[in-house]
Amino acid sequence: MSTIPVPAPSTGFDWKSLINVVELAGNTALTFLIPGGAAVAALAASLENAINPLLQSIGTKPSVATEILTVYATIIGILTTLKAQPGLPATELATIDAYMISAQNGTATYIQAQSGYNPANYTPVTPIV
Amino acid sequence: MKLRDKNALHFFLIAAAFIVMFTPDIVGCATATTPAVPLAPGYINSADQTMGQILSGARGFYSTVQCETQGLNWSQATNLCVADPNITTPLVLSTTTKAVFNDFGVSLNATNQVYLAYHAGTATQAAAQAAVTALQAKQNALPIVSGVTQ
Repeated sequence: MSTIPVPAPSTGFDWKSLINVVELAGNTALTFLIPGGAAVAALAASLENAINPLLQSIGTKPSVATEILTVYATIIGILTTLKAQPGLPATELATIDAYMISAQNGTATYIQAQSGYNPANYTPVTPIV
Repeated sequence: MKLRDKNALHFFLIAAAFIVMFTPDIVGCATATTPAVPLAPGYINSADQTMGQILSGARGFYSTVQCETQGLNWSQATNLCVADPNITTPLVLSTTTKAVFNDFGVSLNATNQVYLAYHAGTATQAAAQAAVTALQAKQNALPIVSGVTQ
């Protein structure tokens, strides 16, 4: 029965400001993939197709959590696509897996923070030595 | 009670039941409101919660990379690096990549300070949002893909 457009609930956060962030993630990936030649042209196109819906969705969906999680999903998606390329050395596969675990942990931590404020989540990190 | 009174009573009861049955839909169509997203305990408002979640995620991401350089995984429960059978070799970061990640860590710490000030009511939401957005940009510019394809 509801035909009246329902505005997304306001969170007070300017989500559209993140669009260039996502574009940056996509462009970063494409920058390093396109020099590979014609073999990666289809890969670049598939990445673009994967990222464009994300850009279009920002600011139109009521679930802001979905948008942020998609940033990690984009990282995971790009790495998954890279991992599927034939002939990757074992060291690169291991690096891809490492970053994927990092993105997964980032997602898990993000979701965990939905259950309540935890000051331990904001304690300083130390440098990587 | 007269017959006419009984009919009137029946009509009234049926009408009342009709109203009770269909009022929610009628009201729903008229207002078309969206249920408010519940605020998790401890956050001061939804923007506080969203920024808190983003920063928590960023911390989990950075901490995991840090632990992986030691061949370990990061435990959210203990906030420590722990052994993980899925991680068999340390993640090797080039000098350049390590510097970029460490710069991200410094920015994460600085952003957390602005966020904590906002959470405590001593910084504006605009300041916190600007810091979080800048950190997100820095996180997405991390040389993850280049590190793989170099």
